[in-house]
Amino acid sequence: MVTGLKHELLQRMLAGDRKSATELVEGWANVHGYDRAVREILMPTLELFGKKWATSEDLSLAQGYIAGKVAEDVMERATSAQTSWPSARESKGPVVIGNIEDDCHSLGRKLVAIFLRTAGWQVYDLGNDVLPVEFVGKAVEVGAPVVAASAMMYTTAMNIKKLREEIDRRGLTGKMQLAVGGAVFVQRPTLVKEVGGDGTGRNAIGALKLMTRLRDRAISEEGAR
Amino acid sequence: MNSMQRIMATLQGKPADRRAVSLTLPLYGARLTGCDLSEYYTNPAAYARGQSAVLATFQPDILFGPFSLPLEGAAFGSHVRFFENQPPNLEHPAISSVSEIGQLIVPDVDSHPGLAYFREAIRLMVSEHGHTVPVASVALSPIDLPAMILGIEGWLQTLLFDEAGAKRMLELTIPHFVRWMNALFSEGAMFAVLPAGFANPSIVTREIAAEITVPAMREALSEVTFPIFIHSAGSPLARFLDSFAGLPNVAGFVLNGGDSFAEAREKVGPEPILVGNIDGPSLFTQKREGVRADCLAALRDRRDDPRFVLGTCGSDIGFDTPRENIDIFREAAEAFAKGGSVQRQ
Repeated sequence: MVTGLKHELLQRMLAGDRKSATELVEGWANVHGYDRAVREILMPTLELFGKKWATSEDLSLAQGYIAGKVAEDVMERATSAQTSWPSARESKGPVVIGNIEDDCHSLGRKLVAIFLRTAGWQVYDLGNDVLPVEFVGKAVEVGAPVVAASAMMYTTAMNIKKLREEIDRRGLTGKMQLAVGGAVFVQRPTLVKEVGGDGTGRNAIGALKLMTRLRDRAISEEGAR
Repeated sequence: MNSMQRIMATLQGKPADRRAVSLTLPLYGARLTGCDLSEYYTNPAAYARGQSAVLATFQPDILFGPFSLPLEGAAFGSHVRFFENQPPNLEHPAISSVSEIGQLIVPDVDSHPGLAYFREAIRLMVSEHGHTVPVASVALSPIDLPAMILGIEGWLQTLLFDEAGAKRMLELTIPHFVRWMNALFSEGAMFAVLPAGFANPSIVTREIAAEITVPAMREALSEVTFPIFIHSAGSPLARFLDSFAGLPNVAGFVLNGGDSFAEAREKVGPEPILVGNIDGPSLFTQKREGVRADCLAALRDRRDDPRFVLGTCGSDIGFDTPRENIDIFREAAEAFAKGGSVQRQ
């Protein structure tokens, strides 16, 4: 039954039917609770969506946006239902995100924030045009093992080098991982290394696995010292 | 042949002495003249000087008017920010929701100082070079202009969830677009290049494209009086060209990096010009020999296609791009036309 429900949810997301997709999850949550609905229905469906998004040439940015809105709607209803999500058991810890200095293209970053929150991350979204010292300062303050910088253009992507330098200058190399994202990194994957990134995701949902991998790597680096 | 003759021949599908070359060098003119970008993107004379320097340095076959789409949004009240090494960008949209559309003041294309910048820059360029080099304007299509008024997310959200609101917005942008195109034409622009991101099924759903944005483009383009080139705007275009079939006054398409010329030609038929498709913004990361190889590959691919222009795609060629990576386009086109060793490589 759950498999069929996930398939149906995926179809509704792909069809762009935000309302009925949200209602489908809501109906299941009314019986089983939002905690399980997010963990067993929404998140696995988003992962399926993300795989399709990464491989299908026919999926649009608009459909990705709708998937994000469905996730956001479900999380709002979970909050209204006074479900604490993520529970302590499910919390994946803090992460700091933002558009790098001079970059004002916020759509991708906002989608990443929605998907990360839905997955149980405690997201500190610093917004557009964020300076390297602000990224690192906030990450140190909240104990985030990953900072994620978004850029849409080549010119602004190059500013991520300054964030790499700031992380290294403060002796946080390895212990603070640098995720990078944005259209320009999809077009030119080698740019990730050029700007000093530790990894990237192919789309906003791909950021979920990336953050987990980088967080685990940061913890491993910390433990190795 | 001069550039005008070369481009005219290409438009007519007739032989030329070599392939025409289109280079997205609006920004680069500021580097050549050492002009501060806040001056360059507000002073038409400074912009025109930059483009004269572009022509003298690289001899491209097309000169472009100012390429800063957010400045069009600024004419509606959006706030833009100026940078040291890239064109101005949108900082805050004029309105945050289509429900605020009543607050908008549609700029008069004949008197708004922000739009006068574009017009005067075109007029100066045409006055100085228009007899030998076509001058093209770069403008927002009526379906992309709302993204510079509402923000990209605001416009996407409107298209997805508020069809009536989307139509209200288009009722405002379509007539403005027609007036704006005619104004640019009156200054001597030979054609206009329009990104059409919100008609592209990699951005919006095929349903939105088919039911809202492509019909809006059709309505708007049927009222313009000069040739239009649809620009891929950084998104795959070739495989979606069926979505653009039958749009009036479309003379050609600027393909995206990675797009297949053959696929594009199959979808649009023999008439429209195909331009491309070497990524301009990343040229600064390339080696000259790599750029040369890419140019020759494109030229070989289109060897028998009379309506092809070798060119860059994406946004501006970057500020820090070595000149030798730009020169090589024209050199490759010249060498390929002469045949011999270069053509066989």
